[in-house]
Amino acid sequence: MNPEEDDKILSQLLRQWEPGAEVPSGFRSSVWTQIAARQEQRGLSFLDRLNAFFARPAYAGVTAALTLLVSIGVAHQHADHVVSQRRAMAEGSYLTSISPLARVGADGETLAMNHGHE
Amino acid sequence: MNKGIICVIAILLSSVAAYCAYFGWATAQSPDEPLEWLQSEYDLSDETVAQVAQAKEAYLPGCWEMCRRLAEARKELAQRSSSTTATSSQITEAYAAVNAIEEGCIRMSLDHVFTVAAMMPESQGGRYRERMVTALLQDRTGQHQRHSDMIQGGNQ
Repeated sequence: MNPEEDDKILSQLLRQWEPGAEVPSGFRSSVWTQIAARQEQRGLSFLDRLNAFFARPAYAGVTAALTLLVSIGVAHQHADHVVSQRRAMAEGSYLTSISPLARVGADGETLAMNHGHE
Repeated sequence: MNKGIICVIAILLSSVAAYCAYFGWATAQSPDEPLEWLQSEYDLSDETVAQVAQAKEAYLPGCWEMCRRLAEARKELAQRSSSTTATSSQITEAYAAVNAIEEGCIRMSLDHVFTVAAMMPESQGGRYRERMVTALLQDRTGQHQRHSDMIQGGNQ
Protein backbone atom coordinates (compact mmCIF):
# COMPACT_ATOMS: atom_id res chain seq x y z
CA MET A 1 0.00 0.00 0.00
CA ASN A 2 1.47 3.36 -0.93
CA PRO A 3 1.45 6.40 1.47
CA GLU A 4 -1.12 8.39 -0.66
CA GLU A 5 -3.68 5.60 -0.44
CA ASP A 6 -2.91 5.38 3.30
CA ASP A 7 -3.72 9.11 3.73
CA LYS A 8 -7.00 8.76 1.81
CA ILE A 9 -8.17 5.91 4.03
CA LEU A 10 -7.20 7.84 7.17
CA SER A 11 -9.03 10.96 6.00
CA GLN A 12 -12.15 8.92 5.20
CA LEU A 13 -12.06 7.30 8.65
CA LEU A 14 -11.67 10.67 10.37
CA ARG A 15 -14.67 12.07 8.46
CA GLN A 16 -16.83 9.11 9.47
CA TRP A 17 -15.71 9.23 13.15
CA GLU A 18 -18.14 10.71 15.66
CA PRO A 19 -16.93 11.08 19.26
CA GLY A 20 -19.22 9.23 21.62
CA ALA A 21 -18.33 11.18 24.76
CA GLU A 22 -20.62 14.00 25.74
CA VAL A 23 -19.17 17.44 26.42
CA PRO A 24 -20.06 18.50 30.00
CA SER A 25 -22.44 21.42 30.26
CA GLY A 26 -20.66 24.74 30.61
CA PHE A 27 -17.46 23.31 29.12
CA ARG A 28 -17.25 25.90 26.37
CA SER A 29 -17.99 28.81 28.66
CA SER A 30 -15.42 27.54 31.18
CA VAL A 31 -12.76 27.34 28.43
CA TRP A 32 -13.55 30.88 27.34
CA THR A 33 -13.52 32.14 30.93
CA GLN A 34 -10.04 30.66 31.43
CA ILE A 35 -8.79 32.18 28.19
CA ALA A 36 -10.17 35.57 29.25
CA ALA A 37 -8.49 35.25 32.68
CA ARG A 38 -5.12 34.45 31.07
CA GLN A 39 -5.45 37.44 28.76
CA GLU A 40 -6.29 39.62 31.74
CA GLN A 41 -3.20 38.36 33.61
CA ARG A 42 -0.98 39.34 30.70
CA GLY A 43 -1.96 42.94 31.26
CA LEU A 44 -1.18 42.89 35.01
CA SER A 45 1.47 45.19 36.52
CA PHE A 46 4.51 43.88 38.42
CA LEU A 47 2.91 44.72 41.76
CA ASP A 48 -0.29 42.89 40.84
CA ARG A 49 1.76 39.85 39.88
CA LEU A 50 3.68 40.10 43.16
CA ASN A 51 0.40 40.25 45.07
CA ALA A 52 -0.92 37.29 43.17
CA PHE A 53 2.30 35.35 43.88
CA PHE A 54 2.32 36.02 47.62
CA ALA A 55 -1.41 35.44 47.88
CA ARG A 56 -0.58 31.74 47.63
CA PRO A 57 0.72 30.69 51.07
CA ALA A 58 2.75 27.81 49.61
CA TYR A 59 4.66 30.14 47.25
CA ALA A 60 5.24 32.70 50.00
CA GLY A 61 6.45 30.01 52.40
CA VAL A 62 8.84 28.44 49.89
CA THR A 63 10.24 31.86 48.94
CA ALA A 64 10.79 32.77 52.61
CA ALA A 65 12.43 29.41 53.37
CA LEU A 66 14.74 29.63 50.35
CA THR A 67 15.76 33.20 51.16
CA LEU A 68 16.50 32.24 54.77
CA LEU A 69 18.56 29.25 53.65
CA VAL A 70 20.58 31.36 51.24
CA SER A 71 21.25 34.06 53.84
CA ILE A 72 22.34 31.51 56.45
CA GLY A 73 24.57 29.82 53.85
CA VAL A 74 26.22 33.14 52.97
CA ALA A 75 26.60 33.98 56.69
CA HIS A 76 28.21 30.56 57.26
CA GLN A 77 30.75 31.13 54.46
CA HIS A 78 31.55 34.65 55.65
CA ALA A 79 31.87 33.56 59.30
CA ASP A 80 34.18 30.69 58.30
CA HIS A 81 36.42 33.13 56.45
CA VAL A 82 36.46 35.62 59.34
CA VAL A 83 37.13 32.92 61.95
CA SER A 84 40.04 31.44 59.97
CA GLN A 85 41.49 34.94 59.49
CA ARG A 86 41.20 35.67 63.21
CA ARG A 87 42.79 32.33 64.08
CA ALA A 88 45.70 32.99 61.71
CA MET A 89 46.18 36.46 63.21
CA ALA A 90 46.05 35.11 66.77
CA GLU A 91 48.57 32.40 65.85
CA GLY A 92 50.84 35.04 64.31
CA SER A 93 50.50 37.17 67.45
CA TYR A 94 51.39 34.20 69.62
CA LEU A 95 54.45 33.42 67.54
CA THR A 96 55.50 37.07 67.56
CA SER A 97 55.09 37.17 71.33
CA ILE A 98 57.58 34.32 71.86
CA SER A 99 60.04 34.99 69.05
CA PRO A 100 62.43 37.95 69.14
CA LEU A 101 63.25 37.19 65.50
CA ALA A 102 59.67 37.97 64.54
CA ARG A 103 59.57 41.11 66.68
CA VAL A 104 62.65 42.80 65.35
CA GLY A 105 62.77 43.87 61.71
CA ALA A 106 65.84 43.33 59.52
CA ASP A 107 66.67 47.04 59.91
CA GLY A 108 66.63 46.75 63.72
CA GLU A 109 63.23 48.40 64.18
CA THR A 110 61.14 46.63 66.78
CA LEU A 111 57.84 45.37 65.39
CA ALA A 112 54.60 44.31 67.01
CA MET A 113 55.82 44.71 70.59
CA ASN A 114 52.28 45.13 71.86
CA HIS A 115 51.51 41.50 71.28
CA GLY A 116 54.28 40.42 73.59
CA HIS A 117 53.23 42.65 76.44
CA GLU A 118 49.89 41.13 77.23
CA MET B 1 0.40 49.18 51.64
CA ASN B 2 0.58 46.57 48.96
CA LYS B 3 0.46 43.05 50.38
CA GLY B 4 3.12 41.74 47.98
CA ILE B 5 5.57 44.47 48.95
CA ILE B 6 4.95 43.84 52.65
CA CYS B 7 5.75 40.16 52.08
CA VAL B 8 8.98 40.99 50.19
CA ILE B 9 10.09 43.43 52.91
CA ALA B 10 9.28 40.94 55.66
CA ILE B 11 11.26 38.20 53.90
CA LEU B 12 14.24 40.51 53.31
CA LEU B 13 14.25 41.73 56.92
CA SER B 14 14.06 38.22 58.32
CA SER B 15 16.90 37.14 56.01
CA VAL B 16 19.10 40.01 57.20
CA ALA B 17 18.23 39.17 60.82
CA ALA B 18 19.06 35.49 60.21
CA TYR B 19 22.37 36.47 58.56
CA CYS B 20 23.37 38.72 61.47
CA ALA B 21 22.31 36.21 64.12
CA TYR B 22 24.18 33.32 62.49
CA PHE B 23 27.29 35.41 61.78
CA GLY B 24 27.36 36.73 65.36
CA TRP B 25 26.92 33.26 66.81
CA ALA B 26 29.54 31.65 64.55
CA THR B 27 32.22 34.29 65.14
CA ALA B 28 31.60 34.80 68.87
CA GLN B 29 33.76 31.83 69.84
CA SER B 30 36.73 32.64 67.59
CA PRO B 31 39.91 33.42 69.52
CA ASP B 32 41.41 36.92 69.24
CA GLU B 33 44.15 36.79 71.84
CA PRO B 34 47.27 34.59 71.49
CA LEU B 35 46.59 32.53 74.61
CA GLU B 36 42.89 32.16 73.67
CA TRP B 37 44.07 30.82 70.33
CA LEU B 38 46.46 28.41 72.05
CA GLN B 39 43.68 27.14 74.32
CA SER B 40 41.20 26.63 71.50
CA GLU B 41 43.69 25.23 68.97
CA TYR B 42 45.17 22.68 71.38
CA ASP B 43 42.04 22.10 73.42
CA LEU B 44 43.73 23.03 76.71
CA SER B 45 42.14 23.19 80.14
CA ASP B 46 42.04 26.50 82.02
CA GLU B 47 44.62 25.08 84.42
CA THR B 48 47.08 24.30 81.62
CA VAL B 49 46.54 27.74 80.09
CA ALA B 50 47.29 29.31 83.48
CA GLN B 51 50.54 27.31 83.63
CA VAL B 52 51.43 28.35 80.08
CA ALA B 53 50.70 32.00 80.92
CA GLN B 54 52.94 31.74 83.98
CA ALA B 55 55.75 30.18 81.93
CA LYS B 56 55.38 32.98 79.41
CA GLU B 57 55.54 35.63 82.13
CA ALA B 58 58.83 34.11 83.26
CA TYR B 59 60.09 33.89 79.68
CA LEU B 60 59.23 37.40 78.51
CA PRO B 61 61.88 39.50 80.33
CA GLY B 62 64.66 37.40 78.77
CA CYS B 63 62.90 37.58 75.43
CA TRP B 64 62.69 41.40 75.56
CA GLU B 65 66.35 41.60 76.47
CA MET B 66 67.19 39.48 73.44
CA CYS B 67 64.89 41.70 71.34
CA ARG B 68 66.80 44.77 72.50
CA ARG B 69 70.19 43.20 71.73
CA LEU B 70 68.99 41.91 68.39
CA ALA B 71 67.54 45.32 67.44
CA GLU B 72 70.87 46.98 68.24
CA ALA B 73 72.88 44.41 66.32
CA ARG B 74 70.59 44.60 63.29
CA LYS B 75 70.67 48.39 63.31
CA GLU B 76 74.46 48.24 63.35
CA LEU B 77 74.44 45.78 60.45
CA ALA B 78 71.97 47.95 58.52
CA GLN B 79 74.10 51.06 59.08
CA ARG B 80 77.34 49.34 58.08
CA SER B 81 75.86 47.68 55.01
CA SER B 82 74.45 50.98 53.76
CA SER B 83 77.57 52.96 54.63
CA THR B 84 79.93 53.81 51.78
CA THR B 85 82.94 53.79 54.07
CA ALA B 86 82.41 50.44 55.83
CA THR B 87 84.90 47.72 54.97
CA SER B 88 83.89 44.16 54.19
CA SER B 89 85.37 42.94 57.47
CA GLN B 90 83.27 45.47 59.43
CA ILE B 91 80.13 44.24 57.66
CA THR B 92 81.12 40.60 58.22
CA GLU B 93 81.73 41.33 61.89
CA ALA B 94 78.29 42.97 62.28
CA TYR B 95 76.69 40.08 60.40
CA ALA B 96 78.38 37.54 62.69
CA ALA B 97 77.15 39.48 65.73
CA VAL B 98 73.57 39.42 64.40
CA ASN B 99 73.88 35.70 63.68
CA ALA B 100 75.14 34.94 67.17
CA ILE B 101 72.25 36.82 68.79
CA GLU B 102 69.75 35.20 66.43
CA GLU B 103 71.05 31.78 67.40
CA GLY B 104 70.65 32.73 71.06
CA CYS B 105 67.08 33.87 70.35
CA ILE B 106 66.24 30.65 68.53
CA ARG B 107 67.68 28.57 71.36
CA MET B 108 65.68 30.55 73.93
CA SER B 109 62.44 30.39 71.91
CA LEU B 110 62.86 26.65 71.34
CA ASP B 111 63.44 26.08 75.07
CA HIS B 112 60.21 27.95 75.79
CA VAL B 113 58.33 25.96 73.14
CA PHE B 114 59.56 22.68 74.64
CA THR B 115 58.62 23.86 78.15
CA VAL B 116 55.09 24.76 76.99
CA ALA B 117 54.75 21.52 75.00
CA ALA B 118 55.60 19.53 78.14
CA MET B 119 52.65 21.17 79.93
CA MET B 120 50.18 19.96 77.30
CA PRO B 121 48.70 16.49 76.83
CA GLU B 122 51.19 14.40 74.84
CA SER B 123 49.50 14.41 71.43
CA GLN B 124 48.68 18.12 71.58
CA GLY B 125 52.16 18.92 72.87
CA GLY B 126 53.72 17.08 69.95
CA ARG B 127 51.52 18.93 67.48
CA TYR B 128 52.29 22.29 69.14
CA ARG B 129 56.04 21.60 69.19
CA GLU B 130 56.11 20.57 65.53
CA ARG B 131 54.17 23.63 64.41
CA MET B 132 56.11 26.13 66.51
CA VAL B 133 59.56 24.72 65.69
CA THR B 134 58.73 24.83 61.98
CA ALA B 135 57.48 28.43 62.26
CA LEU B 136 60.49 29.58 64.31
CA LEU B 137 62.96 28.00 61.92
CA GLN B 138 61.13 29.43 58.92
CA ASP B 139 61.37 32.80 60.59
CA ARG B 140 65.12 32.31 60.89
CA THR B 141 65.42 31.36 57.21
CA GLY B 142 63.39 34.44 56.30
CA GLN B 143 65.69 36.65 58.39
CA HIS B 144 68.76 35.21 56.65
CA GLN B 145 67.21 36.02 53.29
CA ARG B 146 66.42 39.59 54.40
CA HIS B 147 69.98 40.12 55.71
CA SER B 148 71.42 38.80 52.51
CA ASP B 149 69.11 41.10 50.50
CA MET B 150 70.07 44.05 52.70
CA ILE B 151 73.83 43.42 52.31
CA GLN B 152 73.45 43.00 48.56
CA GLY B 153 71.36 46.18 48.43
CA GLY B 154 73.99 48.04 50.51
CA ASN B 155 76.81 46.94 48.22
CA GLN B 156 75.06 48.05 45.04
